[in-house]
Amino acid sequence: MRALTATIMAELRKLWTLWYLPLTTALTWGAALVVARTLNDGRHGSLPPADILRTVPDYVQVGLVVIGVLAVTTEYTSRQIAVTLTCAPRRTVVAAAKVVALTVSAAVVALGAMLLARATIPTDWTAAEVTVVLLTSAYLVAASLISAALGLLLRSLVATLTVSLVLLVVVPPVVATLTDAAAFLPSAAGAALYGVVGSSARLGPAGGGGVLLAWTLGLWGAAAATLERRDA
Amino acid sequence: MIRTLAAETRKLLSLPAVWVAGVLAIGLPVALAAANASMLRRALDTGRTGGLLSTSTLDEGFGQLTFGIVGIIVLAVVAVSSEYARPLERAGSSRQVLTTMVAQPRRGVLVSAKLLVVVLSTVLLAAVAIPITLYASQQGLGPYATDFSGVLVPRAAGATAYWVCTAMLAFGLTALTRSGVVPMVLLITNASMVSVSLLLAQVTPLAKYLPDLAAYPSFMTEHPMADHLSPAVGLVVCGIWSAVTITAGAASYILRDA
Repeated sequence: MRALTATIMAELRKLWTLWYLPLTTALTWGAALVVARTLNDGRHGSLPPADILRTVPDYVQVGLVVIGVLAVTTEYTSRQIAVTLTCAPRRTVVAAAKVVALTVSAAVVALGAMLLARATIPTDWTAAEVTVVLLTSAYLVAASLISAALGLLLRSLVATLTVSLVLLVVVPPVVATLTDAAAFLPSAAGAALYGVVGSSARLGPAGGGGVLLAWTLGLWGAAAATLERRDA
Repeated sequence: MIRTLAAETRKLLSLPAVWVAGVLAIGLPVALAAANASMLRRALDTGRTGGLLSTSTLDEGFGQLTFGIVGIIVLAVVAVSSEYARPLERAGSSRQVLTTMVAQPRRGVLVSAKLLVVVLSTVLLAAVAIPITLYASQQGLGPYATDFSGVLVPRAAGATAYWVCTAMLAFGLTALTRSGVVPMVLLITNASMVSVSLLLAQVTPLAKYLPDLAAYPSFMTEHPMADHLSPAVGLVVCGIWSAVTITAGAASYILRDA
């Protein structure tokens, strides 16, 4: 347990000393503000506040994907992974610590983005909006974790970014019109979780949450097993 | 120059990511065009078009080519970024860019050769992807297919020019930042339906001067903005974006300490 706590602290420190993390956070928060303001300026038939909040993740998720991808792949481009595994030889502990550290960090970035987006809306908070902010943030954290798991599996920055962006950003809206199976893609499951109404998000909040959790846990299971067995 | 070109070609083709890029550039538009066309045909046959974003067949085929640029972006990014990376198999050794610059110290020649190889590969991929995508789309649509005769060559040229512009943007941005993150995030995300360009198109009329929105009229009839540039002007604008980015990227490659 002490090993795990120490490794989590080490992973957190590694994450937050990377120069790109504050930069990506700032850009993500800026994007959240701009997108929410744009959707809020009345030219779009004034969307209800909750729907504005449900649209923001489509645009800011890229920031969370970048954080997840870089959190893992920088270890490989700089070969820091060798030092990491020397300091913490039990690889499942390293994988678990990475999950915790990234979840905490991504939650700060995601929640910050959603709160900033909400801050552009002049009306008072409703209970439904609190739920939407929490669930959209949960989806954004999951998107970050999914990208990081892909990073651990693929190890290359370009490959991981390509797969993550295609899986989470490019393909879902296109496939949504083609097949009902698109509802099981992570972003569609996330949309169902935070209450988007539509055919691509037909799983409902509980179903969407379950599918999103399955993606996250499945990919992290594969990533941890790979880290454990493969020559780093 | 010829030797440098040959070397750059060999280096590019020996990258596994380039083959993945090729599969993406051809596979994504072809698969999406085929799937979309057959679904559109079924919907038009049965009259149940409720769930569709658009029932227009005007841009079927050419529209899906915008997704092929994901592969082109990967191609242009890895052509530059792979020189700066330290992959696992070369752990502990120096970055390839040092070897490259020792072998060919004239950096102007080097960066020109690299760019030329990327542009030629892009044209080659477009030459393969465009006919197959259009064929897949026309087969899927059957009687509903738009007749492209007469406009086929200029629109295919427009789509190729758009791919080349995007490749040059990605190349320039990667040379400037020495990493694939910025160009990939910016350009791949923008190739999707949640693009920043589309968002800006709703905010300001100046968005028509963005590289992708400027290039669209040269190969598609429908456009997210009512007031958009003409095909020729659009391609010039897109070309200016690429030229500026390439100049900045090349200057950084030539002048900065490697």
